[in-house]
Amino acid sequence: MTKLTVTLHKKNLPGGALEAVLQLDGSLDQSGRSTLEEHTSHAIECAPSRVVIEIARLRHIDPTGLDLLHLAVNRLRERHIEALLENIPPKPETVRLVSREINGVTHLSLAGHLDMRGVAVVEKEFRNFFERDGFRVLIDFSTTDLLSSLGIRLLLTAVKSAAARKGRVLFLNPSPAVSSALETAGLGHFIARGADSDIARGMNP
Amino acid sequence: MSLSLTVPNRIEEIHKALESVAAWMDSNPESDWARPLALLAVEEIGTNFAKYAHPDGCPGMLSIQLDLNDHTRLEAVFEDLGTPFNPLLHPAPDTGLPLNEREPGGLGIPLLRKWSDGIEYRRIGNTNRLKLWKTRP
Repeated sequence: MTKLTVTLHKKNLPGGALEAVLQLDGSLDQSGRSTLEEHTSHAIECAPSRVVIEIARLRHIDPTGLDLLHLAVNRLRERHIEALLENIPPKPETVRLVSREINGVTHLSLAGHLDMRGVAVVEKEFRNFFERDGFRVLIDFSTTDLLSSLGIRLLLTAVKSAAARKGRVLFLNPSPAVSSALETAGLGHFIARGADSDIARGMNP
Repeated sequence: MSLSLTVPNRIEEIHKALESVAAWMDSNPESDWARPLALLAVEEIGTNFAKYAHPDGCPGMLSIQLDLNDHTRLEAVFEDLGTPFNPLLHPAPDTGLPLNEREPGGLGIPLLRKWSDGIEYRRIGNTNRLKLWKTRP
């Protein structure tokens, strides 16, 4: 395992402000704690208005390393220094649920990863759409790039609810990978083919 | 390029591991093709481990090693000292059953089988060792 090395660069920003860049290389785990803390202190001593932490060159990062990064960011922000992590989304929301209703048919779009983390984000809101009798819902997978078994579990509750509540649910626009996951789960026959508007019209009684 | 993680047998720790894998994949954009499988493998194997590897409730650790060889091949190795469990012998759920008879769950390994080029299980002494791999399409 390569040791963590940190390089500190300074840049003058327009208007006379200073930017410090901490470039991380090697492995970031517990063994790199003091190195990262020490260089964060050095960056603070430069009195910059902004610190950028670049991690593109890291070869290894474990959960402790991820926590260390967030600790460094918090330390800078406590001192009112703008802190940017480059090449790492700071704990992003993994999936976004967008809903709209057209002519009585609900159109749900799931953008991102419908995996363990994504299900935790959208499950409660998602289930609400399948608790009314006679619901008609189209689930659009055109921006879904990952479907895990927990995501499939959520979809299974939706199609089971449709059977129990005389509702209708269809899946739209899955990528080949998502389509393959739906087929594996025995849910392939819920995939609708054709133009979205035609499918929505066909769902009306 | 490799990522090594040691993860305790708690679901919230699997969430943390997924954050680490996502961050690692972000720093390896040349291997974007491997991202779904890397995340899926860690979630599915990690969840099975957290739920079933230590039914006595004792703490345990899952070792995860992910390698991107020249950005052309993903190899993932999972090792734990839990109850012997060969997921390849675990029957897949019957997805042909009527919906009202279907129980959720059991689809993790079928998904990994479909998405990877190969999966191998070995029991080495007290260790469960599961390896899966995929070559860039």
